Amino acid sequence: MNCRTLQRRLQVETENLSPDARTHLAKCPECTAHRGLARDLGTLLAPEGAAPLADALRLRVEAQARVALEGAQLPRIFRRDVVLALGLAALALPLALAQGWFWLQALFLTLEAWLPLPLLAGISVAYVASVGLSLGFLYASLPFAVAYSRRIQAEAS
Amino acid sequence: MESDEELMNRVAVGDGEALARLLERHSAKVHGYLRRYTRSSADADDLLQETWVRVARFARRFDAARRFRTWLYGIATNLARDWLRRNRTRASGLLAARSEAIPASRPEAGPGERRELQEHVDDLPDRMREVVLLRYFAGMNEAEMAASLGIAQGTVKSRLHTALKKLRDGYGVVQ
Repeated sequence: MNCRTLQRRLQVETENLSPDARTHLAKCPECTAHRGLARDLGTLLAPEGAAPLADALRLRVEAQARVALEGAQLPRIFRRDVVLALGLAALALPLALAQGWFWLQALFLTLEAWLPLPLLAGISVAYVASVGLSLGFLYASLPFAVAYSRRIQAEAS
Repeated sequence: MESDEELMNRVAVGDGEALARLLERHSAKVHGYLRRYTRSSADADDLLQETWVRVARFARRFDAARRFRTWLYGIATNLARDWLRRNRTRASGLLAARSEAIPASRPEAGPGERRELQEHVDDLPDRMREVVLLRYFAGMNEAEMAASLGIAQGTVKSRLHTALKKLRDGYGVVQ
């Protein structure tokens, strides 16, 4: 048995060694020192006597973990902060739609005397599509924004 | 007594009591591991909290074929590594000050002896320090360490061997 093999063995087990390993240990100071270190680490770093967690910390950790567990049971879209953000954003939706309708009416009233109807209809469709896409993108990005904000808060706390 | 993995199956369907029992079983050890990893009690508190938040959040992703303990320490190690990356300067300061007391783990061992060994462990490069802590503090075998760190068992053996060799050179064990 060579030193490297024995030392790797000692990383796993320091007591129940084969006769071969014991013979090697008896004549090799380097491996004996390696075994001593492994034993010392085992006893000095072992956590058996480590102090139990302080009650305040345990309660805080448990409370946070329970909140996270409750949140994890809901689909992402139904989490409280996402629903709140979407709800607030939805308040602005009627205003945005009314404004869109107003501009569309104004466009027709102003330009119908000068532009042919198919061209006006094309412009209107392009306008409605762009507003729809913008609103869709805005609302779809809200859950991601909330998740990002949650992550930043967690990292900062 | 229910095993950790059985409790995790219950946590995965939202059982808060099962989560509390796991927390009670493992928190003190994980906290000690994080405290030794970061060398800071206050930061270990925060990392412990984040570890359990992640356990709860990702409980449904837990693979029941794996051991819970390796998964838990994997999460804690990843968080501690991120913390070290973000706080490299502060971590170096803590290392220089060595202000954190090492809890007595063996009453008959002198405080000087414990401190000296702990200081040598603290001086190890991060990747070596984590295998030493997982092996001798968390009491994992090489297969568990490999699963926890997501690396090959051969890499664990080699890192641990190099770490012990470095420690041996610095610590000067007398048998």
